Formats: sequence, C-alpha cells, structure tokens
Amino acid sequence: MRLLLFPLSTVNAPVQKWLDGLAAADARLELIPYDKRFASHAVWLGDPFILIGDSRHLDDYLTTLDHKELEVLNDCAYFWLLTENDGFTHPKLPTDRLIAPSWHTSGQNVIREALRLLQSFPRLKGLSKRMHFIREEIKRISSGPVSPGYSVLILGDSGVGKEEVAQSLFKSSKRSKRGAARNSAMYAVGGAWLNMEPGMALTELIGIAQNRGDKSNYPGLLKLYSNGALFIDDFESSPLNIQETLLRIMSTRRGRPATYRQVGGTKDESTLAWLLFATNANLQKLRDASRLREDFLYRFEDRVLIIPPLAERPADFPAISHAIWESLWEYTNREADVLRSSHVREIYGRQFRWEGNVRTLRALFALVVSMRCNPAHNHRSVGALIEMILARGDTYWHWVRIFETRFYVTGQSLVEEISNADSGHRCFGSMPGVRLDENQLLPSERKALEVLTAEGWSIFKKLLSDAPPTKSKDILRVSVRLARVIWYVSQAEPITVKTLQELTGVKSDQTARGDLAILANYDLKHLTKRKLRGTGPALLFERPGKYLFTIDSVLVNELNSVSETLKREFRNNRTPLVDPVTIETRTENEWIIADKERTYVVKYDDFALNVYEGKSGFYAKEQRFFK
Amino acid sequence: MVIWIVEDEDDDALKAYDVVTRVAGEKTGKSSSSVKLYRVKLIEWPPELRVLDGSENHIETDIQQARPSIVILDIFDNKGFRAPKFLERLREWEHSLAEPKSTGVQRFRSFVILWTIWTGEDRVLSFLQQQSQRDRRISYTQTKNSVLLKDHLEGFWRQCEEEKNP
Repeated sequence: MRLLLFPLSTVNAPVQKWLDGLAAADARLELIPYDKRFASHAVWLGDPFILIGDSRHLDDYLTTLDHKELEVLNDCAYFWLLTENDGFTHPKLPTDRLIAPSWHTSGQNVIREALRLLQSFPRLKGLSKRMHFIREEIKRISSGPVSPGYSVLILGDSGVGKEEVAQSLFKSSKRSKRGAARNSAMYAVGGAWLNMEPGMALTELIGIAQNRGDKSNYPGLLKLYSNGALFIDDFESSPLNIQETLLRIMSTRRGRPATYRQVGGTKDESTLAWLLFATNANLQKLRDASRLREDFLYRFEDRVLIIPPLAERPADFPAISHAIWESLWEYTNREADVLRSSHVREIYGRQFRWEGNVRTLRALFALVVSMRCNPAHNHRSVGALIEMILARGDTYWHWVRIFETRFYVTGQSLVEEISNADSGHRCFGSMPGVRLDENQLLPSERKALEVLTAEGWSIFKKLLSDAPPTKSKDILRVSVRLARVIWYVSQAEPITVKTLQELTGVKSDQTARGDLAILANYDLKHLTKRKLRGTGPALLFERPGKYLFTIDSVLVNELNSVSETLKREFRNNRTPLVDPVTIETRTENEWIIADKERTYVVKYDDFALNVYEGKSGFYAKEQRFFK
Repeated sequence: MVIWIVEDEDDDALKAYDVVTRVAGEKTGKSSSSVKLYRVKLIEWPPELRVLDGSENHIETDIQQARPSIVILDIFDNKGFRAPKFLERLREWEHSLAEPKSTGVQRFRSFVILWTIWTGEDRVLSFLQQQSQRDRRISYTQTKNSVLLKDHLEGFWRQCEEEKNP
C-alpha cells in the first residue's frame, strides 16, 4: 500500500517520529515522499496522501487549489493533513471526518484503519467517500450469515463496477477462504443467458436428477456452487419462473440451507449458495411493467448496495484511471508509460458524463496505449494522444473514429490525408457562380470552414463566385481545390505549386498557379494570364497570427511593386526596419534588404519567404513576416 | 532544454536550426533563453559541441554541462553510416551519468530524432525500425523535411514537459 507524503515545509523531528510510528505498525505500508512543488498534483495521483505542514502552509496550499482539485479533494476519503494543531479547519475543507491529526498526538490509528479498509478490497479502486462507504458495507454484509436467505442486491449503471463489488463481497466472506473447491467458488452468470427456453433455464439452475438407467444428470448451478456464490447480473432479464424459483430459495431463514427439488427428482436437494444480484435497470419501471415481483425486492432487506455513476465520484477518477492504465500495459510487451497527473487532470477537466462509466474510460486508455505501442507514434506524448482523441467528441463512438485518421493510420502524410478526404464524394466538374451550401459541404470544404475565420470564409465564398468555370469534368471543382490548399497551409508550411498538384491531381502547372493566385488575389477581374498584379488580402485563420500567404504571389515579378510591400511587411513585423531602407536585386529570386542596422537576404521561393541574418549569413531569424 | 543538432551538412543544419528556433519560439514565447542549442558537425564520440546562439561559435568542452533533452541525429557523414555507433555511445554515456538524488522526478535519457533521407536503403531502414521499436524515445522521419522534423520535435518537446509532472 502506497501512501504519498507531501511536506509543505521542512520535516521536523516530531513529524518524522509521527511518520515512523505510522510506518512501524504496517510493514506493507510504503511511504513515498514528494517534493513540495508537486503538492498541487496530489489529488491526481490516485493514491492516498498526507500533506504535512503548519496551519499557515496548509492555509496557503488550500487557497491555491482550483475548483477541480477542490472537487476531488472534497470527495476524497483517503487524504489527511498532518499539522501542529488537530483543531485545524479551513472553509474549503469538509468537516465530516477527522482530516487533520496533529503531529504532537498519536492519531495514526485513524489513517491506519482507513488504509487497512482500502487494502482489504484490492479489486475496488477509488478513493471517494462513496467507495469508502461501500467498502464498509461490504465488510458488514460479508461478515453476516452468508446463505441463500441472505442475498444481496447491487444497483448501478452499466460499467460502474457491480461485478467488482460482488467479487469483493465474496472474497471478503468466509466462503472464499474455504479453499479452491469448485463448490466454494463464485460463478457469474448474465440474466439474459438464463432467458433461454423456460424449462432449460430452470434445469440450468436447479439441475436434473439422475434416474435409474439414465446417466445424463446435471446437478445445476445451485448445487455446483452450493458452498460458493452465484452472481446473477442483469437479473431482471431472466424469465419470471426463474425469479419465482429464486424467490423461493431466498425465502429460507438466514444461515440455513435452502431446499428444492431437481427436475425429475424424487427427493429434496439442499444448497447454501449465496445469491448476489445486480442490475442497471430502473426497478420501479420493471415492477410497474410486471417484469419484477415486488416481494422479490423485499428479500434484500438491508443488503442493497448502490454504486453511483463515475461522474458523481470525483475522487475515484484518478485512482481508477491509474489502475486501468497499469493493467492495460500488462498486456503489451513494451515498456510502460507513466500516466502523469497532468493527463488525469486533462481528462477529468473535460467534465464528460462518462455514459459507459469505467468501461468508457478504459476504452479511452486502451486507444492511447495501443497508439503508444506503435513505434510510429514514439514522438507523440501521452497527453497529445489523449487530447487528439478527446477533441473528437465526448463518447467512445467519437473517439474510435481516430482509426480513420492519419494519426492512427501511420505513414500517411498530410498530403495523402487531404487528397483522400473527399474520396467517395462527387467533387468533379464545373461550378460557375457557385454558392456553397454549408449543409452539404465536402470533407475538405468542411475543413476549410473549420480553419478559416468568419471573414476568411466569406472571402473564400466570394472567390468561388468569381472563379472561372472548370471546363474538364476530370478536374476537381475549384471549391475543393482551394479548400484543400487552405487545409494544407493551415497545418503545414506555405504551399508550393508542386504540392498543390499532388493535393488536387491538377496536372497543369498553369491551373495550379492560377489556383494559388486566386487565393492570393481575390480581385479576379484583373486576373489575366501571366499578368497578375496586386497584393490580395491574406485569408485569416483561427490560429492566432497564422496567415495563408505572407506576401504577393510569385506572379508579382517586378521588384518595384514588391519593394513597398516588403517595407510595409517589415514594419509590421516585430523587428521593424529602420529607415532608410535599401532593396537590391541579388539574383532572380533573392533580394538584399538593408536598413540602418542590419542586412537581410530575402529569398523569394514560390510563396515562402525566408529571411536570414545578413552578418553571419547562416541563421534563419524569421521564416515568415507575419507572426 | 538542451538540443543537439548532429549534422554535417550546413544546409541541413540550418534547416534543423530553423525548425528548432521556431518550435522554441512557439513553446517558450520570445524568451527562448531557456533553450540551448548545440551543433555537432561530425558524427563521432565524444561530440564536439558548438554553441548555436547566433553570435559566435563557442565550443563546449564539458559535455556533461550540455546533457541533451533532444538530439536531432543525421545518420551519415562524410565518413559513412556512423549514427549507430554514436547512438550506442550516447546511451552508454547517459547511463553512466549519476542520477540526481530523488526529488520525485527522474532524469531520463534523451529523445532522439533520426533524421535522414536515406530511408530507401535496407540497412538504414532496418536500423531506423529496430531502434524505434526497441526504444520509445527514438523516432525517425522519412525524409529531411522540416514539417516532419517540426512534428517530431514538438512531440518530444511536449514529452519533456510532461515528464516534469509526477
């Protein structure tokens, strides 16, 4: 059992003595000290912890916690504050249990008892108050007269861990200590499975007697697990005659064996099988629909365990996350990654409803682990993968679509991803005077809508309405071509004519250049072959400071028309040029720009401008003018 | 953050430098003084670390003072396919360095980006695949493309940041 220690100040002698006393009582207790700068991470690590410090330090600590951390802390039943004054309170702390023992008194037993309870149920993960209560209830129930007349009902949504609770009940009872004999084990069965032909289901449960000459007897589950337990999940799915038989069995006095007769039997059989039931159904609705006998429910008396959904148990979230994460790595042959506090915090912070509860969380981690096990994702951090998956939506059905993307289909380049995005859609042909229907956009057009600002999108639509019609039916329509360029530029470097051709399948160099010119110069009235001028407005992206193009297109080829623009761009830059500025041609694609203090060599290669420090002639200072 | 660019070609070193400064600028804002860059011109051990700060070519003599977080490693230089040996010596050296006393944070071995255009050669491809399969802190790019390098660098940078958390 790990217990994390976060000293908020130097550990003094009384504190050390107190901690030694705590560790001495339990050899299995592992005290793990952390640096104080990690104290705010304590709630996300999924282990019980103690914060150590005087009242002033604790006050400061609690004041700095944000609402998410406080939410987890307030729900946590396994943290303590070790301080000089056992009367320490804070308005942000709960007062329903002893949280702050003093290092001057021997209050270790409070912590020891709580940890012992936690340790008794290794299958039950979670540090919430609710799970603490359930552990106490399991302890109470399992120490009772375990028998058919002492059945237990476990209620909770799908994926909250009902079977784990049933297993813990059984493990905690005297039954599991009887050895490995089959009839003292626990057997889990789904109620739906018993929903077979009524006679068959009954036979499965109570067995078939061996008659003279007939050797095909079957003892039935009640006999097979006579000294063990039967866990019937989704019991409401079982037929009513099964419920009636079970009701009869459950009506036996506590601690006594129940008697029944097998199919075709002539004498009574007895069983001590412990019956554990679970359901995620609304019991009132089932009763109203006559799918459940009301007197069936009364038999559970004070043995009903209700497990709330994961979203209502904040302090269980970190512990369950870490437990799932570690268990998933056991099935891989790769070195396990560490699930960091920042990862848990990121996921918790999304405030999802977690409809499938722990199963959904497990599915998320399984996707991340699967991706991390692929060497092609070595460079992607766990946090980045989590973000990438969660960005898709809030349910598993959103996340699993990651399999379709280049992040999962490794080796697929951005160009391939974009080029393949519209496959299967009608996207060829002429679109004169097109008006895009925003409800029927193609994937690449939808992507352009995502990345462009509202202003950018309206310019984009205007460009389309002015664009010349595409004559060939084999050429992608202009909206798709331009959308693909926008998508590419939003995620990569400035585009070249060659890349555009790869993206769009356009063979003609002229058409490709024309497409770029359309985006750079939206005033197409003056757009004529080889005589393109003017500085079209750059389309703005959502990403702050990112522009589609830095400056005029390659089609602007006169130095005089460029120089003013260059000057302007430099002035807008963070390192403006100081007048007087001189601009000289160096080669066909290079200019030397100099001001009072510096000299730059500017390369003009398609749409990319690279600026190098003139003095050393070696280092790139800025690649784009706009930042 | 200490980054080594192990690259014999000036143009490629410049390309890598450009990517690193861009990523550093994005990650740390304008105050990228927390990032230290070194250029290693020959793929040999011990490396000759030249400080890349845009001012002068200062050589770092004590490589322990320049323990890298990320290494961009070209795999060929004019003496041949020397990255395997370099990588092996790098890992041995990192292993030999004493770990600082436990403060809740471990000192990890560096992230290595194998950066090459020779992925078409069988022995190279096999080396790249084996290394990335064996060690999750190694990745490789298909070409010496700055977009790919940026993607890998950003990813490893983020991993360095995440590893600061418990």
